Amino acid sequence: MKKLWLISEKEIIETISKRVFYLFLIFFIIYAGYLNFLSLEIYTNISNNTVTSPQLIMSADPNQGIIAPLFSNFFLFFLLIFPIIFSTAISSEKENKTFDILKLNFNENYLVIGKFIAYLLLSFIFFIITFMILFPYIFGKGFVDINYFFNLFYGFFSISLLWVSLILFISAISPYYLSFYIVLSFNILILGLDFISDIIKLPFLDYLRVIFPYNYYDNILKGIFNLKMILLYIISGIMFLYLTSIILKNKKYKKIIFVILIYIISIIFISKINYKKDFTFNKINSLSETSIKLLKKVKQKKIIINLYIKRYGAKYQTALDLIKLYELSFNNIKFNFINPETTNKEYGIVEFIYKNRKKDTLSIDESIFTENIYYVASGKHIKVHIVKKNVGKPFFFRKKLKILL
Amino acid sequence: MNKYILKLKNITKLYGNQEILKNISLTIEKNSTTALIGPNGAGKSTLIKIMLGLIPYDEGKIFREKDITVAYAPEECKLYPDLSVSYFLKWIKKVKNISLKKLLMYINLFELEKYLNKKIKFLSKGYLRRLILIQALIGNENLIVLDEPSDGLDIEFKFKLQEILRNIGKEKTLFICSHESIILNKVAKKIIILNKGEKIFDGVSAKLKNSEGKLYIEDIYMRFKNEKTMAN
Repeated sequence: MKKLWLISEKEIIETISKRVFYLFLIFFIIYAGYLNFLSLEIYTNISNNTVTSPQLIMSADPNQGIIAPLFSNFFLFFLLIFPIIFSTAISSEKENKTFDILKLNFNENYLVIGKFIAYLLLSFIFFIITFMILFPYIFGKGFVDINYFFNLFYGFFSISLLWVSLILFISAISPYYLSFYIVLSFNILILGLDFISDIIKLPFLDYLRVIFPYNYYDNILKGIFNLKMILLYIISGIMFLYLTSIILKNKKYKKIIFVILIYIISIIFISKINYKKDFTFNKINSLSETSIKLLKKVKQKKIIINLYIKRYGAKYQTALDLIKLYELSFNNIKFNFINPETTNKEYGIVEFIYKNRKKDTLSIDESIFTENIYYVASGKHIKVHIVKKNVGKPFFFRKKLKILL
Repeated sequence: MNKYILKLKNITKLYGNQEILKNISLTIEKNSTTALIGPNGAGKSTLIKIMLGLIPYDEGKIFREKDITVAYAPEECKLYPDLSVSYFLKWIKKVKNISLKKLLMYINLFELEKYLNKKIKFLSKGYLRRLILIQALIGNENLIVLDEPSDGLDIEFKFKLQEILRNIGKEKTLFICSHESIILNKVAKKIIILNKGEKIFDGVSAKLKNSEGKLYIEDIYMRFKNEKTMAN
């Protein structure tokens, strides 16, 4: 342990001795502060007006309306600041010949894990800064959803784990002068993946979209616990760390292939897990009790919902938010977004299909969706009235933390 | 009990189809001081890295003493440019598990007192070399490998280093790769000469000394060049 910490300590001191680190720290604080100011302004406007739309109800929740937008800047942090600070973690040691000195004093596993711990701790400095920006607000207003914070914490931990280990891996295999550019290009690719996969339909792009932060990030910010993604991120992180260690030991390709095979097998098992929980105190990501009770009766039937909505419009976002509520509670409902321009369907039509039974609507509304799903699955018409939004008890911590100044 | 600390037997290293090292066999005896010399591109640094286990080799075998611990001062090492000299030395103290007294003694010996608060990147080439040497010489390792230890040092300190290495060589095994006669003279007991990946000489340094009893690298090169011309 002492040797491990010696590596981490040196790495932390070396990073914080660089001017570029402080430059990004200042940039990050200004950016996060500005975002906090904007979110507070929007939140105040929403809170002062009558809230009607479900999306606005979500924004009116302080955790979703203020904390989530502030932490959303972490995406920029992972994709841009990480590579600038960490991308030469191993390649610079090779370039400066210090790697040879280190290898004689430390085992390769210690080197990799020591560096990994250092960068994980450094990445949490940014997390703590974000939390500190929120501090006056949270304690001034008097409450914080601990469940939501807990979700944010392990969410960022798992993303950092994957990202740091991936960057260490790239740094170990690439030359010094290229490692920064490789990491940055890779991150820009991830950033643009959502748009690229819309234009070019390739299966591997869809796979990358699942693996990399988009979906998971959204879950974290909304306060949804996603077991599959956490395991996937942890396993992927461990695999990259192990591969880095193998490469540093100059081991043959056979072992690398073996590790990748084990990784693929684990991924296959993990992909079968579908456990998501709404971690928020008010259960803002859950369907209403009425919908859950009704749809439980037809949960064995595979229902297809085709949404003829072009991506990135306002209606698309509303539909996506509603779909996520269904996805959290039911596995038997499959959603497809179809560009209406490619079909002869009317723009905004939502089609519900089960075997030969079909129904369509133009409304993006939970009660209409539940009515139609129930109809196509059972053949019976019912009228759904949603009177209470929140269901069940909080999943983890059962009390709100109440601190008054 | 083995007399050697490290033994290489028929080591061959290839880069593609090119043989960088051809069937190199050598023995490093305990508490001996060996110098490795040879022209540029002879394969000296590759041989050192293979000896230290830093890079793989294609053929041959390496025998190491059971309790071998190695310290290494590489050539052209930049260390950690953003760290301060004092932090780096304190870190080395913890890594090598040595006393503060010993560290202070080495700081004094290598005349680094004035530079403790400086960042490593602002050190001159000579002082950077001193720092690289300290990290290799200060520990409790039983084999110390130095690649071009006098590179960048001023003439005065080269003589001082000669003395330091002589004293360390009395207790530890030293393996020095150098072109510098000052460093080799009075320090190296055994010389290994490498040329184009082949070992062309391996013996006691006395055999290579000139009529004045001194070891000049220029004389040695000329001698082997002439012998090779005659053989051709």
